Amino acid sequence: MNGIADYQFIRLLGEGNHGRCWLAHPPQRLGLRFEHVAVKTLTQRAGDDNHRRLRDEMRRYATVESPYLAPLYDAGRHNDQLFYARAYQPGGSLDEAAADLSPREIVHVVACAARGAHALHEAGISHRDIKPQNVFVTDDGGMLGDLGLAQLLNRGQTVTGIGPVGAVEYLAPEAIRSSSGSRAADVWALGATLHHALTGASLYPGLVPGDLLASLRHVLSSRPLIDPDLDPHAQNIVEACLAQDPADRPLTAEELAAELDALATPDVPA
Amino acid sequence: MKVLRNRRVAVVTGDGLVGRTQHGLIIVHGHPDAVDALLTDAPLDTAAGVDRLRRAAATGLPTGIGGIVVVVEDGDGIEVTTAGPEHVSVDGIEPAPERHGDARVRLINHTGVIRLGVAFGRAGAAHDLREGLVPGSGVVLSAATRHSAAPADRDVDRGRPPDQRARHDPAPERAMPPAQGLVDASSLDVEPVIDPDPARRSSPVDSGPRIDPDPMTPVSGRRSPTQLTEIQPPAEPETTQIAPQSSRAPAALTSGHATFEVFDLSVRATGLRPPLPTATSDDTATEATQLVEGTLCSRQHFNNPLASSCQVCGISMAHGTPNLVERPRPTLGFIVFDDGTTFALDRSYAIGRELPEVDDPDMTPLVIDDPEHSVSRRHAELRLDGWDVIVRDVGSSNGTRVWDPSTSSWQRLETGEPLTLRDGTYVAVGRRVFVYEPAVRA
Repeated sequence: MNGIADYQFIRLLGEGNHGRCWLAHPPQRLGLRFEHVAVKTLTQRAGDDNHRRLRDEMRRYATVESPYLAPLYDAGRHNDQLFYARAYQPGGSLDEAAADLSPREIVHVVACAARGAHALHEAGISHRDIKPQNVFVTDDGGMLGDLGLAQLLNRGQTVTGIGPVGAVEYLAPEAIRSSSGSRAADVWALGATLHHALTGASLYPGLVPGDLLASLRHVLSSRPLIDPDLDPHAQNIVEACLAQDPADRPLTAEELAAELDALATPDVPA
Repeated sequence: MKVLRNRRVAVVTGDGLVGRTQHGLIIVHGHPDAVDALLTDAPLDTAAGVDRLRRAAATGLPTGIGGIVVVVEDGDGIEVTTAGPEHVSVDGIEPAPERHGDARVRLINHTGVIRLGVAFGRAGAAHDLREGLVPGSGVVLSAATRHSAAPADRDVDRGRPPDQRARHDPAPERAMPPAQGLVDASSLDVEPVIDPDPARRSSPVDSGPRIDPDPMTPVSGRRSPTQLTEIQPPAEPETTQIAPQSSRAPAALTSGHATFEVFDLSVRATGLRPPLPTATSDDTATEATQLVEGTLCSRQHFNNPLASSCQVCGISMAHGTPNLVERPRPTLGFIVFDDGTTFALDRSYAIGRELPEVDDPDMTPLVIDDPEHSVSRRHAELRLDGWDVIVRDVGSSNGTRVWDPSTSSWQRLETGEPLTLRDGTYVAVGRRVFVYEPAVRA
């Protein structure tokens, strides 16, 4: 594949649960002044329903004003393939940051992502796919990108089945059994993202690669294991995000962001 | 007679040849010399040639031809003839012909999507082949919508003489309204027509974007909420190139034209949503709202009366006589397919291949990806009923089976026969298998 619609691809940036992400030159019609955009091509075929749902979701996303959400420039379909274009983030993601980040910086990046999530929630959108790969590192903090679309394009689906088994740790237990996204499920994912970015450790060391069913059973029948070496204040925050009962988690992502700000500010006692 | 009138022929990339003339449509794969010889012997641009191809497919292929599909059309239907030692796939026709054998299928008034292929790749279909011979391994035939109706096809409806049709005249015969700026803003729910302007389609050089370069500037001040914009993309050499074998091409070589559309993101989505609610102890209910009787755990989560622990907080539900209350049904668990895709049982599903047309508004389509074509278009359904999940076969070709651990064998369900899933029940839909995981274990 070397392009879609009037985009010319430069290289593949990555492959995700439901599509591929490409570095591309933006077409002139967008009137963008910079050289690169990220184009996501979705594997799901564009039936008329999917086409309409994607269009509506993208329009909803585009109307949410937040400096903590990756700007969306364009979305459409080319023959049967759906695509969208968003800002390219040269700073990378929490999964693969271009530069080493201090723990304090990581906390700040996650706080920014939480504010992005909160802006979505206030607009009635749940993100559904918050994980280190979708939290971008910017010059002055972070940004949330790439809405989870699996749910949108395959109604009722909760796990896409492709991708590393570790991805299930970002899924709140109730989000495996129920397909309606929620603030609480995104808050779980933000906590799991913070934990992974700070420790590099898995919340479920017992997961069996290649056996998703066993992994889901494991996740549903055990509690996540928070790295004991993690800073105690950070541990408390992660633990709250990963509460089994959604009502026991920080009620909003904004509330979580405020707690993370306190954690990232050196003058505030832990 | 124009073959495949009102059909869009999207070519799937591959190393065979796909050809379309007014006499027929073929897909052929094999040794280039053999393909060349076959098409020389039976040229596509004559009715006799296409007939010869069809008979060759029905009675015996020359050496070196791996597989062939010939499609012809007459007054009220199309006929698909397939042959070849290679895998020839026919997808979207039911009952499906033998997958590896030779077959002839006659379809009357068939309007669904049909996929035909020789060494069928899974690559996306590109272009709309109107006429000519191009590299490819398969086609996706679909009803030509107003998005893709070929100008030549429209001309048929307008009664142009056949000799002119064959030439695929690039000159526009009538002025088509351009898509942009002409959709009335009051027609909110109507998808605007993607401009099928023949002049644009045939324009050989101009491949530049065709919409306003500044998206913030309304086009003619009449930008519509549902406006879609067609743009002619840069040429795609790998699919528009004429095949090397085409030196003796039987017909005018005109490859199709790919269109894309972009959504106007400055438009507010219809139906703005309120902010998401914050979590409470009482929001386990699904959107589909059958009321069921259940019990509350000590933290007031609603549960199946048979549950031994709460499905939300995990707290023990062991107590004396439960107090039954009526509430909207929470999710009943999930199913996991053999490829790991997982679906929540917070709704009922109609299971099938492709996008099944679901008549019942309570059913969500669950589309199974099935490269082996073992799953029927409408295959089975999973219906939530009270606290039960019930599977039924809805008349599939290959059947729906349930694993019986006591005999270690698959038991086929009669069409329409309901079966209540139990914890860990395995169900085979064609050759795809899923397992049921209840939200709670009794």
